[in-house]
Amino acid sequence: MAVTVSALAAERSEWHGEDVGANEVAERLMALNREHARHEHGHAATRTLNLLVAPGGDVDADTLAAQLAGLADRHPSRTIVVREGAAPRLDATVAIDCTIGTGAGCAGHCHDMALLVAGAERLAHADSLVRPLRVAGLPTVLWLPGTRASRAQDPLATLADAIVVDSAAASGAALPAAFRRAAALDVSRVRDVAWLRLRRWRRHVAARFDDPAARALLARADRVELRSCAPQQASALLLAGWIAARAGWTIEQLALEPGGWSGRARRADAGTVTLALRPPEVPDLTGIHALALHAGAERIALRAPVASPNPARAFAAALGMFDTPTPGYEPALAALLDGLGERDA
Amino acid sequence: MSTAQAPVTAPANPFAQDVDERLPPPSTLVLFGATGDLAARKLLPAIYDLLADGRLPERFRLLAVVRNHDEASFRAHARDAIDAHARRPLDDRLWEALEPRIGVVTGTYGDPALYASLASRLDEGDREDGEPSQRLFYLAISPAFFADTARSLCEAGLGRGADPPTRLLIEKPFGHDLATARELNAAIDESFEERQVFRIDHYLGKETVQNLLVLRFGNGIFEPLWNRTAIDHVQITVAEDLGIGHRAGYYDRAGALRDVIQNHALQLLSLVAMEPPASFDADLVRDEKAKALHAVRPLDPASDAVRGQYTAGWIAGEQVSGYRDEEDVPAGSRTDTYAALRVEIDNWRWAGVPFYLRTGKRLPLRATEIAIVFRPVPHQPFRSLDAPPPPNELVISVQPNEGATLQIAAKTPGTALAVRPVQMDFQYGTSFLRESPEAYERLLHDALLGDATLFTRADEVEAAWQVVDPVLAAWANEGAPPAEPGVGEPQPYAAGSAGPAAADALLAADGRAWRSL
Repeated sequence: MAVTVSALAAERSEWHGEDVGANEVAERLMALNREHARHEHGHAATRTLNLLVAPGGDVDADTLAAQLAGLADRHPSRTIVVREGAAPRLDATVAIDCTIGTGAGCAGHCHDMALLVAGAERLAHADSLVRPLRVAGLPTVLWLPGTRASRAQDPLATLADAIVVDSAAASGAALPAAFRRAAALDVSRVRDVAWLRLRRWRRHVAARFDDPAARALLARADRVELRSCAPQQASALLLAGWIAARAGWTIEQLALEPGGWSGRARRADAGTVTLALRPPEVPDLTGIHALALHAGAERIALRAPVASPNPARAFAAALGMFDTPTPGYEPALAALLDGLGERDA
Repeated sequence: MSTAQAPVTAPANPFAQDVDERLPPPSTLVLFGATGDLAARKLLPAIYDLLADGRLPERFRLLAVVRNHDEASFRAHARDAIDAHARRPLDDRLWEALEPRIGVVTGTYGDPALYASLASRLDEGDREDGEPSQRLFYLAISPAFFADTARSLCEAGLGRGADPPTRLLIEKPFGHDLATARELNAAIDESFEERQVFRIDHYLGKETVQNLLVLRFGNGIFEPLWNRTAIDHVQITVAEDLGIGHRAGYYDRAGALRDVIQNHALQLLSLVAMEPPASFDADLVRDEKAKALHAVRPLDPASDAVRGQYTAGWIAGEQVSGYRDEEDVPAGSRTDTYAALRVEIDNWRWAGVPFYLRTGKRLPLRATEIAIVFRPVPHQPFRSLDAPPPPNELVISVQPNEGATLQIAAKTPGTALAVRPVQMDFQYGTSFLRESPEAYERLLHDALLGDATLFTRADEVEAAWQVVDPVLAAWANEGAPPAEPGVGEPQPYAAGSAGPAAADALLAADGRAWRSL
């Protein structure tokens, strides 16, 4: 076993060990925290959640590290990353990173994390690896980056109050699998970032249909068209699924065609609504750009809600809503899976 | 969209159930005083930040009432204000969305033509949008114009009974004393119904102030202790390290008691002292706050109040002038730059628990906090201790570091029994790293939604004036020789000190001391 302990620096303390036990990792993390607390750093060691991370095999370490660095700025969590290693042993790195506060009203904060790299057999019991490391009494959120499932996913899910996925990690023909993966989890605990990104769109749609005339048109709608850039296809489909579910329509068919996603829904009065997800009219536009509901010659057109573009923080903001109920997500997902013929897959 | 064939009735909005926060209905905000300091520093940036957060309705217009601007120059002014003061950097895409929503109406407040022109512009906007929008009138102007402006709006059909609905937003001071507050409320009541009037005390928009309600009523551990059985006393401090800047004209007429205690400090007191409301309905919350203020025992200015005025001193290594040497302050001014009160609340919950309130300019630091000081343990079992453990304190910090700290006693390590106070900290800045919205964002958004919970009702304003009126009357006795210590002449305190010695004596008389600043 090789162990290295770095000198305590103002910004970072770290320990690394190979072929170690989970309890030893927990002791090292506690020791780092104790040592850290002895130094006056002007920060408060406040944590609001345990963040478990089980990246799929398609997520490289650098990308994940960059995303986690962004998260640390918003969520003072204890982060525990569990990855699969080639060797049948447990290697671990624990670290504390600090931001030092300067000036009144600018409090510093620190963030501790553990990276566990374990062989496949241990990963199948990943819950036992992370239990000693969790901060007792805090909510636990499991984040599943990437499109492929980690072996640690299911055991860690048993510990999680919320499970964060991002269907938008997939696109094109891979989207049905992403939706199916989310549906296979306990959906009431799933926080799909692709859905959470729709927060403003959903407010926008709900505000528009406060108008009785708009609701009357909804009952006669025969076409829904969404304009969206490619990375937001998952969100756009969820928006379409939500509208269909809440309007009382059943999506009977949904497929990826050369021009984009197309489908057909059945209204409660047996009328047909065609669904179309198309690229933006202006190529440079990002996100979901426009939504139009048609009823014969009548039309309701909604443009993207004006709001601050801040993609770097979008994921962190979404994670911040882990404890917010998402009542529309399950019916939206179910409507999409109906259309994709994936409901019982 | 054509609505000609729409049926009269329609099913309930099926999408409303899935949104965490409703958008306000189509709205036009009419800003009086649009080129003033409040608009530039707070209101225009708040509108921009609400837009950036996606919290403004799709149909939103801002109409600025101006005298010397045209649309282009006011838009440039607004852009500069947003660039300088918004929470977020000015983003061209957002500005392009906001700019066309900004218009101007030109005129002077006393001119009836202004209001006719305003009404016409509002109707014109509705015609352009194809639907009516609610109208909010924000009077960011001198309080001297509140009543007349409200009357003029009403005469133009924009007050009581207006259709589309209207609201009036005004900001303290609401009167100069109880009598003038009643006059103002009565004058406004002639033009707007109380439910249309949103009186802003921006402290109520602060995150920590709202958190005080959650802390009290959302945590099972506190409310059972929140009474005379467990609490020894309460201290409410609103300390400022700054002087009066260029506000001598206003401040010398107002003083610390009017400027801070009558509104901010008594609002904080009412939130600490109120009974649990049945629900967080605006009127139920405000009923309870008003009841707490009505339960305040009439103050004796001689024994319950201290006023001070700063003299020259040092703050943060800089020498600063005394109040009477500040720009535009009249020689021999007796204005209070410091005020402290000892307040008793005569009800079952708080009988015998004093609330000490203090505010001052040129104190050592800027801090607004509420300290709940608990009673000591009834029996002291640690006989070897030289002194009993310090009392528990719950300190709710409103600014600059929003959060709460619970002070408890802990044994220091070692073989000897020694006890030391330690602090359990909660800070918004570390627990929730996301930025809190500015108070004005919250308040403007609530006003757009018609939620009056965080706004002050007329009876609350009058109840607060009722508390301070006897002290104001005593302190107004200028020219008369001091009849008793503390009455008539403000007590001097050096800038950078924690206030006049008489304020310390106010608590010392009860065997207590202020928390250190």
